[in-house]
Amino acid sequence: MEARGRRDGGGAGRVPGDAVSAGARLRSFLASLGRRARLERDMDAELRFHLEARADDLARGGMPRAEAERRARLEFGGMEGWKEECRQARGLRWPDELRQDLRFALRGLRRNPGFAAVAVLTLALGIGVNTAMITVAESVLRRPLPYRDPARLVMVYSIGSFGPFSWRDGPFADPDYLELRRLGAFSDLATFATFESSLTGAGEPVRALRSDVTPSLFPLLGVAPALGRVFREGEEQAASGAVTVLSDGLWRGRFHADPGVIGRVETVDGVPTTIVGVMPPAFNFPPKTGLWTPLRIRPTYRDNMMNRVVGRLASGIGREQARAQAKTLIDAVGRSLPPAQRHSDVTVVALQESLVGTVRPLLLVLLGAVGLVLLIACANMASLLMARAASRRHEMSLRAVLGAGRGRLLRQMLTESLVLALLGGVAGLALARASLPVLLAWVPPNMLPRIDEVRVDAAVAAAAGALCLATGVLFGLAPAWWGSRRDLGPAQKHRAASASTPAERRVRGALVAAETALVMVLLVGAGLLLKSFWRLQRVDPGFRREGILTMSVSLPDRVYATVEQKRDFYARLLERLRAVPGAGEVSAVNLLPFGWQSWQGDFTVEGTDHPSDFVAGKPAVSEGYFRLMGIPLHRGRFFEERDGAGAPRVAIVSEAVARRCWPGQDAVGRRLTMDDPKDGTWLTVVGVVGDVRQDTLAGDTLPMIYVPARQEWRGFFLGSMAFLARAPGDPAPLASALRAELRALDPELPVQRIERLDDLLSGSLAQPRFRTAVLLTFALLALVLALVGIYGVTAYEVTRRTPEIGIRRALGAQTSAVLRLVLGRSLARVLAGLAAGVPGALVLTRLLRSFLFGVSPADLATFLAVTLAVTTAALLASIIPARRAARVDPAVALRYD
Amino acid sequence: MIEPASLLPGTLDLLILKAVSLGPLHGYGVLLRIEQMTGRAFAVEQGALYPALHRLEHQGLLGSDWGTSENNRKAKYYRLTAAGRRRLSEETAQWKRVAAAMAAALGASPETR
Repeated sequence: MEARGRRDGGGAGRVPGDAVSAGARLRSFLASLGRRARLERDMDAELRFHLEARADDLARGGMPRAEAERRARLEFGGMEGWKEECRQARGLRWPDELRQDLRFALRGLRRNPGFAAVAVLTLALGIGVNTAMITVAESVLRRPLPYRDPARLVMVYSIGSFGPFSWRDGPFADPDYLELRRLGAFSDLATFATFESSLTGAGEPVRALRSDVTPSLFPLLGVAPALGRVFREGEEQAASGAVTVLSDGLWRGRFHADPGVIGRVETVDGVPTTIVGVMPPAFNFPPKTGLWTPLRIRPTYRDNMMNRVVGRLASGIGREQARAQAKTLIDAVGRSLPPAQRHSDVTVVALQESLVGTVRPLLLVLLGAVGLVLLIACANMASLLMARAASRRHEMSLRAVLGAGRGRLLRQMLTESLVLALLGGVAGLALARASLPVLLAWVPPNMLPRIDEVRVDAAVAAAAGALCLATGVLFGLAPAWWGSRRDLGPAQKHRAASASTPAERRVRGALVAAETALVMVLLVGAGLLLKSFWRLQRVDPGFRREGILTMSVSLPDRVYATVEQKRDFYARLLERLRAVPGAGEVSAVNLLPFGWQSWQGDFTVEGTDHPSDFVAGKPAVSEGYFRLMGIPLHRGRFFEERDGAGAPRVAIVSEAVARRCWPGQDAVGRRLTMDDPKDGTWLTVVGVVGDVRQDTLAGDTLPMIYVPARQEWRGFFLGSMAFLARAPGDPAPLASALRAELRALDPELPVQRIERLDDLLSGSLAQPRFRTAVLLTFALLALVLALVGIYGVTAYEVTRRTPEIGIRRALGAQTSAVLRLVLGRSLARVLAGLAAGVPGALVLTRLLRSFLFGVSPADLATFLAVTLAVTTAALLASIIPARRAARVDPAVALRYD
Repeated sequence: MIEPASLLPGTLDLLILKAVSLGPLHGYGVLLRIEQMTGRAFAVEQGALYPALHRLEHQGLLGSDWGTSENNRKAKYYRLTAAGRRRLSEETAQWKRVAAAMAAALGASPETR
């Protein structure tokens, strides 16, 4: 043994590895690798020679030949151990053992296809959903925007409040923007506003988002056009005619990627406009823009509150510094402004954060959920591998006796779990790749920013690989540690007598309990979302949702310039639509509930000297609107034929307005104004109707002040109108009839949106529905995995305890007693898991609070239902093995093993 | 009978180099030569010899050839390379310095006051 101990000592005073021997070592290592087989043969021959020569010597001393050979072998010691050291001396041990371990692992898995399949599938699911979610989160949240030096790009927002209004991500008026440009904190700034627009000319008219931007936007973001040019500084003020730059999407969709499109004149919102450039596909700012036009800056105009500001921080300037500078500036400017135009504060938000900040909470919750799924998969793997290690104890102890060190056994078992992790990882990656497009197609529109940028990149691949290796180590380590224990010899001897050691049982119990706790957390989360969704769906919107078809019509200001032109167009269209056979009742409204736009404002009640302390929606409606929508009349009357353009101005208020403005009194006959009370137009309330929900089922009802569309005097609110028609049956024929009437009236208007009111309402539920479905899917996946785990552990224990159960049966135990024995243990573990899961769920579901509606994060019913469901499911998973145990034939069982 | 002493760390390599420096030897021959050279003062475990031989060969201090032994068996013969010879002389000198110092230290007579 002495010589063995000295290996690491090295030569006293030796210079470690001079140049010659380093080269020699590398050559020797490579040569050894290349001539593996020969080297092994040589080593065998060399050692055989030694034994024979030694035996010869011993025999010459008078020992019988056979005895001499035995003696020679004995003196030499463990042959395999020395060979191993020889290989190691040549630096061969590592690749050699790895190859051996790999071969061994693969052979083992082939021999147990069932085990391998369950293991790989479990991992594939765990790693698959994680990779998919990581891909989305990484692409959306973490990956830098595809612009030049994106970390320095920021949005500059105003914050303020006035009367019932308040804004947190507010705009700046043009004079403020010009002031901001002078600050040293920003190396450049741009301002922009986005509108719905229509593009007409050759071919079908189309609708697209148009962004008016200062020419500085493109150099600010550092993106060059793919074709043509972007705007020149000052171009917006020039009289040379309108110009536009197209997005890649619009260019491909409408112009079939024709490079000759540069210089062509199209009609944008009624104005002949020359196409001067096309942007590359990655350029998507402001988000979803179809075409950019130059924004005209009005240096003294303060009433436009549409333009947001984007900027680039000067080098060495932090967001906080920039904010401080901007705040000082805006405060100084504000002192000379009326209160309505003052901002109380400024924020500077990273551009990326401003784009994706809203989905961050949801993505993090989902990431957490799949993380829990992966943990369950790992727990499953650990119990699977533990059972496997136990069934291989005999083999392992044999190998230990033959001189394999503990480290070597440990590594071998870790190799097996790593191989499993790798197989599972590859399958999981394939699963992620296959499921990602499905998942993304399932995402409701406008829910996920940067959705077009979602793809697997190096960071995702690295994360998936790390996940894979980590799970391999995580679930492989405990069973490997336990399986490689030195006391395997004695344990092996007692194999038949003892089912499993208490320590093993405790570990298995802990794994089952942990799985149960994790599943409980996920199911409670999913249950809370489900209940919220159910609640949300049952909210009464205050109007009839079924059987109504809606068509929105937008009129470009440049063609329909005056209020009269617009009102006239709508009146004629209404007339034509009413004549359509099968249309029945037809009406119109400019602010359709759950529609495409929403405006709210304050108003002043006669007899008070200040505006209302709350905002109201102010829809303009045609006759028949309330009847068609099924909005009930509480007092007074609906609008009638007589409420025309020249007639006395009238209004109908919703119950909420009546209650808040004239509590305990009759609202009918009262007057209010939406203008400045000093010189405004007073509207007389002629009716009170029921409250409706305008934008979301989750929030409060919006107080409403309805005016007759024919009396609407503000052109801004007549820019678009939604026409409604009763369509009890299949809406398709009616839809095409409506569209035909519209085209007959103005063929230049682009195709308008035609949708069922019911679909619009459902659309407002799309996001809650999506997140509920996704979390529910993850939770059910976790449940299935956990049940597989519980089933596996119980089945394994029943097999191990067959002799014990046999003895019990032989001693007269009833079937029910055996069932109790098996189920009792399962139940105890599950209950322990639930006990741990309840506080866990209470803590974690608080993260869901912002997604809940009408349900507390600690909702008792949900917790009870989940507890009951998990317990039942776990008992069902245990009952199959339990019944097998109960059928054990004592005679067979006692012979077992 | 005196118990054979344990080998000091690093001495097995030196002994092998020394044994082989007198002429090519197979592994068993190295063992016998060491026993003979040291008068069986050290116990060299037989199996332990081979990892040491392979390591020295790996380091380029030994070379090897297959030859035929005295009783007509195929055997692997080790010989000293030039690098091995350099290493041997370095380590011998080093060892002698250490041994002399140790001897001087242990042989010193107590000082009289």
